[in-house]
Amino acid sequence: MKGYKDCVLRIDLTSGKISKEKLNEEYVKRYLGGEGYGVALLWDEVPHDTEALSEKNILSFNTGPLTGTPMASASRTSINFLSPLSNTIGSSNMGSHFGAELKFAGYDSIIFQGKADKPVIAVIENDKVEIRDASHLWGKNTRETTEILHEEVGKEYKISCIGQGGEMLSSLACIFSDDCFAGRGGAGAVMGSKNLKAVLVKGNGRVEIEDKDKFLEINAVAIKEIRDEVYTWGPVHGYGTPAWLDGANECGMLPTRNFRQNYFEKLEPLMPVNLWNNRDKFEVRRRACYSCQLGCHKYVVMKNSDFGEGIEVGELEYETIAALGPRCGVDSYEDISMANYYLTIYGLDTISGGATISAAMEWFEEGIITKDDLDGLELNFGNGKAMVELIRKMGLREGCGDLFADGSQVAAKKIGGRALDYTMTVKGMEISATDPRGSSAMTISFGTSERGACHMRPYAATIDAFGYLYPDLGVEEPKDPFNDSESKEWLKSVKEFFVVTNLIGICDFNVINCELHATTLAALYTALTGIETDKEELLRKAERTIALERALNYERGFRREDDKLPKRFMTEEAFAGPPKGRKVDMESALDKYYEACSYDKDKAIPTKEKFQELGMEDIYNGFFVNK
Amino acid sequence: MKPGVIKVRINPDLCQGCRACESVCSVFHLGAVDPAATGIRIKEKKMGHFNQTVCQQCEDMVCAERCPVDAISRDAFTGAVTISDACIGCGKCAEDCPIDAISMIEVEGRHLAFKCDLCGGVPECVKICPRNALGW
Repeated sequence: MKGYKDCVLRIDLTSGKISKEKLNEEYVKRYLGGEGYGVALLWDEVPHDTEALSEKNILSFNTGPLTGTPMASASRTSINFLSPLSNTIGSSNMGSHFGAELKFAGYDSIIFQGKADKPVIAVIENDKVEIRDASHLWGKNTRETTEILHEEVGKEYKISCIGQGGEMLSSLACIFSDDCFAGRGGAGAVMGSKNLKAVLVKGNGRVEIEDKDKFLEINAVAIKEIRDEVYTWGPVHGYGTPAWLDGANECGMLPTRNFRQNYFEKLEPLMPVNLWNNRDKFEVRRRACYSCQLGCHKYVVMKNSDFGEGIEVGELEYETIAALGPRCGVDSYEDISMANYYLTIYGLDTISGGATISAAMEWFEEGIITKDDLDGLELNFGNGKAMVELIRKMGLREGCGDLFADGSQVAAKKIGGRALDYTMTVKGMEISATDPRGSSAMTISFGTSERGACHMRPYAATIDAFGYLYPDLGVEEPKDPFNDSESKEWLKSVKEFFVVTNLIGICDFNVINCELHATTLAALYTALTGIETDKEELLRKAERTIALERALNYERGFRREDDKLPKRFMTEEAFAGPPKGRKVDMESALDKYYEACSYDKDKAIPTKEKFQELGMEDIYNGFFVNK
Repeated sequence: MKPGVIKVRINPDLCQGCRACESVCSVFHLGAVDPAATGIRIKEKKMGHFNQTVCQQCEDMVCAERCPVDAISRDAFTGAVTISDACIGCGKCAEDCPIDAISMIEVEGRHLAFKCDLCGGVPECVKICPRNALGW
């Protein structure tokens, strides 16, 4: 099993016991690795009704077999836990150089269990693993923590840490690694609940490859496929993800003012060119994740603004800009940058952060909350300065910020009344920056995502709204973005392929514009590990992972009802652009998708026969709740 | 030190710090990703600015002069300064390299000096660099 390191590090924070174990081969055979490995751990080791922030929850960092190799963007680490935000499985995925370093240090996964009695950090240098006291780091933000640790232990260490958000158990807290984030689902809060401030890794071991010549040959093919895609290798390679802003807006999919509209009329100042080329105000440097071809990651410094000089804003992504910009009606890069800065240093998810503010703005405009509830902030749509101030308070749970620090759903429940009508969430997680009225496939993606409304399971608007084809996955004809009653057979394999990237340790951006072929990836996996694998088997491993995630969610009480979008999309018509006048037909869309996946239509899990076909009877038989 | 003409050329401004070059270098030469055994090395000096270290294939070959077993010579075909199998791993070449472009590695229990040999023609790092920061 080359490619894998065949070693898992287990750290029990309660007792301080550190142990190493071999990879569970059954998990690898079924789920491949990465996210699949993490979810299998959750299923087997955590009681299924565990509270996310209790010490029985585990937090695992899982690399895939390709992580750390020269394959394009082979940098990914999946972080798995039970989510405090959505109460479902938590599965966040991050880039940076952390995952590759973890492989070099000799581990496929690290599992943290229990809870330390005081703040600690875990320091890993090859086979030397230590838990150290971190009292002096508690209360420091993500940047300060990284800086202090780099000074203490040396710059060669790759660090994942949490900020104040995670320490204060905010459900929006993420894990920060070198300006990359395991953002969604509250991974940071789980880390904070274990009193684990940071994980440091340094390694100089090897990742072995079974057939080097074959690997290099297929790797070159894979890279060529990515470079041959015009949009990927043009705007996205140049500007990074903000290149999508314009396209999404023109297709009527850019959430505006908390989804009241789906088209932002003031997008011009937010076009990526105004960030990159405004050299008087912004300095933008590229800083890619490990072995990334695309290099969407960048580092922005705001040289001067009303907020001060030389502010290290960090990463500005499509999702961030869309959440803090159009979604809140804000059209100034200065305000967005500053809000992003606070979210970064306190370690909060920018998507859910922006979405929570936009919900609060609508509550304010609807009169559900007033100035008195907001410490005097005039939180109208478009008020960037108020947005920045509220986000700062949210990060520190200061004053009214405490109300919003756990996301819009929790805030709405506390406020009560009509507030819940304006939370744009599925399973408690805020919908990211695509309006499902503009893409029938995204209706399904957001609705049925196992971790709550998620833009990466899959980002299928590329195919139905933008008109891409994916012949390798059976999408040979354009799909209708506005027809919810059309067969969703194709979406099943596209979703599976997106999940494959999480299992194998590469970035979704290799497949988002239909670049990388599943056949190529399967051949690459075979050359790396020597395990004969074809496209079908690769997708099947993802199908098993999804089935297991659904099973775990089912145990935690999630049913068909929870796969539905907020009412707004079913009752309010799209405001402009191609989908103008369209509403979502949720029931038909779900029926079509469940049919395609052989799910039970009420329980929203695979049928018994499907579990059998996947070789997972033991999972089906292991249900504790009524079948 | 007088830099050679045929070598991996670098435009530091374009480098994005992804280290794909390091990764592919060790795979091509050693058949495994090995961060300690790469002919090219990328280090971040400050946020978003990267230092690249790679052999300059010097004309005066300081490393070859120091080698006690004459294991270092210029390849007539590629123009690269290469280390032959005769290497005894004494580390003298690495000590004397003015830009620290030679690393000492361990292969199957043997200590060896390792450096950029231009992959026998077209360097793999140049092929994989997504930003054209490397040329040749």
